[in-house]
Amino acid sequence: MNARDALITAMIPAPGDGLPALGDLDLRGFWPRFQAAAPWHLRAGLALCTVVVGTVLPLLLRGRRLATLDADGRDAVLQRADRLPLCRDLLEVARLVACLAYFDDDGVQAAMARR
Amino acid sequence: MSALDGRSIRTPLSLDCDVVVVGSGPAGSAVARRLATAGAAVVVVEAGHRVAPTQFARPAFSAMAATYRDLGSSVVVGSAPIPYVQGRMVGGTSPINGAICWRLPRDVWEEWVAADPALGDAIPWERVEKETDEVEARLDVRPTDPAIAGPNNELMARGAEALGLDHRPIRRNVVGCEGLGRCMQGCPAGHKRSVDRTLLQDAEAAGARLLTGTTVRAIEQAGGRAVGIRARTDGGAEVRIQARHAVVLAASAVQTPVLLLQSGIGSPATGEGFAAHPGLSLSGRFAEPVRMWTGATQGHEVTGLRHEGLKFEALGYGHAIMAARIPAVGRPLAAAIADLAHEATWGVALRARARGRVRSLLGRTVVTYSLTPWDIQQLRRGLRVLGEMMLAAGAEHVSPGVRGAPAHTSSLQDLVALERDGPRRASAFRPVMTHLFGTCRMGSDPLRSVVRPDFRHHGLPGLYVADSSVFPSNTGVNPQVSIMALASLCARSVLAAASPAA
Repeated sequence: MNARDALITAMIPAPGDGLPALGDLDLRGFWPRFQAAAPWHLRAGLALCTVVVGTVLPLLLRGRRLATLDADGRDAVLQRADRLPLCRDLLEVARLVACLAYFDDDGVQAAMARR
Repeated sequence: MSALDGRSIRTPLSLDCDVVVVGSGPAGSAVARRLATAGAAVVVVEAGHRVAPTQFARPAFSAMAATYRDLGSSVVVGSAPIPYVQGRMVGGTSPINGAICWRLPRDVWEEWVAADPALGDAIPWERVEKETDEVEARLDVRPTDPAIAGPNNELMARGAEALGLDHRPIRRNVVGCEGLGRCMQGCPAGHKRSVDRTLLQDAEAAGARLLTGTTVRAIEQAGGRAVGIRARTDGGAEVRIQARHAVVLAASAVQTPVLLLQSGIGSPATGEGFAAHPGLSLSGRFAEPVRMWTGATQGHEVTGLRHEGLKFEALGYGHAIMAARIPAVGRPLAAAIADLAHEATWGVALRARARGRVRSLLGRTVVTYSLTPWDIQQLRRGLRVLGEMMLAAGAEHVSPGVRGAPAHTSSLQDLVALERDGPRRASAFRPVMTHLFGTCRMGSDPLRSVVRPDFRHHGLPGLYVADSSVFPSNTGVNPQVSIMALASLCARSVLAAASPAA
């Protein structure tokens, strides 16, 4: 798994109650459409977040990149990042992209409609 | 009726007409309708595409990718980046807005006339009212039907009533609303009476030609007047449209000044005076499911503090935008998503005093804008009132979404403290802007305005601006109807100027 996918899927682990984790979804169709539709600043913000929160911060905190950490380790890095000023701003972008990807899934839409 | 899709135009195209209208949103559609029904040969050029109701996608990403400019994430640059939302499709933002309809408030018009008495002669109140009546009749504007309002709107009514604030069902341009909660993604049932299904339809029926998927690059001049436009289709073809009588710009308060500047028709006031309604939202958890994604998208509003520049609305986001506004990541975000059905979200829109600027730098549009200390104070006040209303409506707790304030609270004292002692910096808040004004103001002074009180450009005969760029200020209320009414007056000005030659 690359750093970007590790970051985005860690944003929404399994909510439970019949909802899948973002990592359980097939995002192959989402990324090309995102690259085509997103403005440059959104793409740049996600790329920067991937570097800072997906690579630099976990290396500093855990000595490993986010993609190589287990689920507990990834969540711990995200919670720490969410308390740091610059990282918190970057995570706003990652959260938007993660939510767009998550709720773009037909299965998630169907599960939400039943709630 | 004649429509051309720029995606399939790959060879140079040349068109002639009486008037070319740039933009098919509320202003462009209103101008085109008035001119076409008066017998003028009109061409409307639109950068976006026509999207039929059956094509409106349910997931937010698919819907926004097809219909929102920059995926809804264009941002202003200033003391804090603030996203502003614009549609990019036939009908402009009209097919994907909350369908909220407000007449231009009399007090706002009086402010404009007090600042520049010439406006009182050019756009007298009686004519504004008459045009508004006609627009509202065509758009079938009516109060939200309580039968389809849904819990989110009903709770806001309950909260406002408990606090003794004036409130009412929102007047909207929808007919037969089923409460699908999808106004912001485009009504898939076609119930919204957006301009592409009303005013623009009338214009096309009267002979106006619509050219979609075509971006206007420059206004052409000859003999000291505007004579047409140059554009490029999505298929890669150059387009020239010659206009015998007028070029009317109706591309929005961001794109219109940029087009003027890129065409070398800038003046001291072009792009200055950018005004907006920054808004904040506040969420609350209720014991019973609210299912914010059902019911009228925005069906209730609180008007009791409009004199303070504050207007409150029930919001109706789809799942993705609701979730994206939760201030959490990872497992706490996932838990909040699982609980999303119990969340209600309401918003406050501010008639901000901040003024910004629209420029074109290296081919990119740059909007600079910073909230004033008064604006931030009023936004804090708005959040306090929203929180108090939501708790009065029965919320277990509310989430102001402000950095430096409690993430969740059920304490009125916390809300009072948020207003009184909360953050003073704009970056602590997460506002979004939707209504944009003022970058080509109308007025009698060419140094402080771009068009005359009758919508004619001060410096270039044959050129008019019809959109909310011309508004001398923000209005404090949702502007689509007042944009259409004033644009209709702009069309009358075009007709009056053209008639001696016709």
